Amino acid sequence: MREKRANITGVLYKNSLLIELIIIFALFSFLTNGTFISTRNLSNLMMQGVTCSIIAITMTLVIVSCNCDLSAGTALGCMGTIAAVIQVKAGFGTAATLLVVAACSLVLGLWHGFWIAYKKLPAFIVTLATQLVLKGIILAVGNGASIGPMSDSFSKFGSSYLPNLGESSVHITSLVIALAGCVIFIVISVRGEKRKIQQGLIEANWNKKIIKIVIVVAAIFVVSGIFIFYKGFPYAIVVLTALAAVFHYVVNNTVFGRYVFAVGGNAEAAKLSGIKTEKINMQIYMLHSLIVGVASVIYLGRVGQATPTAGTSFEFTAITGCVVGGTSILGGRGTIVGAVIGTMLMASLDNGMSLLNMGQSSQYIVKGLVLMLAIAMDVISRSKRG
Amino acid sequence: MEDYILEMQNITKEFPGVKALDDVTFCVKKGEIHSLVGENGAGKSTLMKVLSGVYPVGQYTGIMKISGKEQEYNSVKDSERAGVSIIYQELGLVGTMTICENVFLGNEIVKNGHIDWDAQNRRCVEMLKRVNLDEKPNTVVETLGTGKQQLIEIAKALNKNVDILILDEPTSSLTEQDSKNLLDLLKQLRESGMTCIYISHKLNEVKEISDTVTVLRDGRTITTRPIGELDENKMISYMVGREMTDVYPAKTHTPGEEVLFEVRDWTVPTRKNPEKNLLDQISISVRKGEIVGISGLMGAGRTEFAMSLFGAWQDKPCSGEIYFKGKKRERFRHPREAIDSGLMYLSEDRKRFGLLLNSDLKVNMTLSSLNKISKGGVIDLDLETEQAMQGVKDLSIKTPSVLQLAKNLSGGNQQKVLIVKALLTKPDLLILDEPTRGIDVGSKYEIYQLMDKMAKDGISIIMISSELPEVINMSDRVYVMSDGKIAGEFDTKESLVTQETLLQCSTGK
Repeated sequence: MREKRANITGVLYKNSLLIELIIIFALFSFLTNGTFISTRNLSNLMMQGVTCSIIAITMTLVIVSCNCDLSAGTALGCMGTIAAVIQVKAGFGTAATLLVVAACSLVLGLWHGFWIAYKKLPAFIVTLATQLVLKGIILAVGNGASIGPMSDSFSKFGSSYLPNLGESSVHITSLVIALAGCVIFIVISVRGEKRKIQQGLIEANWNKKIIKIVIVVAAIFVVSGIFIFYKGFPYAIVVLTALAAVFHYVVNNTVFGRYVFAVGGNAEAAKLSGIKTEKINMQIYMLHSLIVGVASVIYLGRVGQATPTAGTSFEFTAITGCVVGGTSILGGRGTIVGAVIGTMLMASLDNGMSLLNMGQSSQYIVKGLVLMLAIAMDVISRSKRG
Repeated sequence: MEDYILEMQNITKEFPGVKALDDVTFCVKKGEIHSLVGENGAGKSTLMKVLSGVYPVGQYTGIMKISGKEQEYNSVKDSERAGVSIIYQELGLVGTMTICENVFLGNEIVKNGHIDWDAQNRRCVEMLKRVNLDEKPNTVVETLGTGKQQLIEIAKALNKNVDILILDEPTSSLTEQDSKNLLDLLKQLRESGMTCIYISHKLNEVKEISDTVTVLRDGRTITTRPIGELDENKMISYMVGREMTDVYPAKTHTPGEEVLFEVRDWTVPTRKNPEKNLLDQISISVRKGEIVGISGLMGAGRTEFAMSLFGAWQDKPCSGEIYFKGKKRERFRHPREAIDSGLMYLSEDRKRFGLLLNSDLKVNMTLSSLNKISKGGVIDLDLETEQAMQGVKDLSIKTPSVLQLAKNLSGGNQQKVLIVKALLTKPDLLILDEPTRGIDVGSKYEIYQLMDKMAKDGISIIMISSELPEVINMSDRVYVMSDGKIAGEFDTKESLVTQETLLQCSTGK
């Protein structure tokens, strides 16, 4: 009996993200009389969440390696301002603007990596300091004004949708992509499971695996459906999905991914195992900064103009998303997919609370408490399990 | 009935699976310097932790009386109240604070809710005079040498009106002159009626200052005698004789002739005390397929030696010549360099320096050799699983699967996981630091067998060990380290090496 109960707790804990999603969606749908789950709103919601979700992808690596980044949101705003200024005021083309953004992000990555990885300054303080410096740069470059509009070709990244190949109201291109995604997912999962059984790593339990696959496929269809019946997949979502897939692969299949987890799990053991921990930390910040650059382009494209406060507290949403999605704030544990879903969950919270016309004050309080709760669950569960 | 200030009777303290103290009786007379000697792991530290309240009442059995009154501590604070103060080998001073702040830390003189600095400074000057330290109270501690810091620790203890002062290896990081000053101070404190418990591996110091000596071995009191009845040889013969409870496999390997690794005049300065070298002109050599033991007492610098060879000591300058595989080469600047060249090191502290406890066995095993199973940075996961499963099979690691998390394994199996990790790097020379620490007898035997097999396969092994029987039975040759130097070299094949010989050498006789 007790074993059964422990088993149920375990299942609940493992699927806590899914449960939280269901609760939040049910709650908001009820409170907003269904406005919340209209395809229009859900599509909107995901577009709002996409920027932070992209940041959350590499924020996961940062947190897993026992580092942190408090400057991501401001960095996004800063790169956006620079991009807007050079395009609107200096007349740079889209390609040149993108190159400048990439260069800026690399400089920022080097800057963080130098102080945090090689000079061993605490990441928390370094990135906090950078945040302030970047705020200053935003004001200096943009003169504290909104700058826009961006050219059409630039805005495409943030606000356009995949072209529809068919003529019907259903978005054919997106439907095809979603189907392809499902097939790829099924093939990869089944092959992986087969191999594991073949190697004797796990015992065959196809029922469980099939349930899992069905749930994921259903989720893909629900999410895709939102877009397919609205305007199709936006480029931003395509970029998010592609980056998430790439980094999921990096984490699970590459030496770099393995080293990130080793550095976060036990830095001393990692060093004695021959891992150049400084180099890994540097690479993490370089990658992270580059991804923040991508996020800034998407965000700027969607909003169309750079404002001095753009990006404020995005890092907060991304960090909360990571932790809600199962990344341990103590390092050494986390998943990319979890972080993206977690961040989308935070975006849903944002969106739902706005639909309910809740004031800014209560929104801040709720979001702060959610982060608190997520970290408490992480740390307490970890100390319990030793 | 003599005038005992401290009586500890029938003290027994058990850790899971081990009896650290077994019915120990330890009595100290008022106003004497009483030395406590014994090998590593004899139970000295555990006994002192009982005395100083680190292990509160209930965690041990037995009776403890101070000045005839039975004591039942709940915390270290209680022991301080009873007049016991302990000074550990690792100093407990806050380097960035002044002498005065340190002396009164946790004991501030408070008047009307604020610290009375005048009174503290006055008293501090008094205390510094008592310990013969000519420094101002407002000097910042970290600007002083280790010897002076040691004196500040004593001043801090004296300030608490201590009756029994315990010093744990106080001279291990001091220069000779500083040691002499300290011993003189202790004699002077004895004149003024202070009782001292002195723990040291340096038997010449013990002989010089003690009135009485108690010898512990394997958690038992062997003898308590006045110093007049003992000399260094007698102390040693009481200290050794750890029973040969472990069984050792027959040696099947024969070391080759060719010298694989040689280091000459390896010297590393101490971080805080540049006048004293942590490691001083160490020269050793290892032949192919040979097991070389490094024996020595705690604090002799064995781990530091291994770590510095392995390139894990990079923030401090090391000097000396290294010859590896017949060629002279630069010292290793990072463990990566060492591993790539064929040198691997496994730490004595498996949990802190060895394992990723929250990762699975597979990840742990391949961590140092991922470059061998990856192409363009992408790991061949199938090959990885195969290697890990082969390792589990070859070393008969008891685990349901290679997906098991490292923290869920027993000490012996964890050590085997690390050995697989080392073997996957294809080492020519493997340094094992206390390879059987905290491992049950059965697993120990398996580890010994493995070492023999590795040597037979041509891997050279340096084994650092505190267990004398283990060193004698497993090694082809033994170096003894003492105080950062090589104090002796013994060939276990050519002559009969006994525990006494090694210990005599370790204690600097």
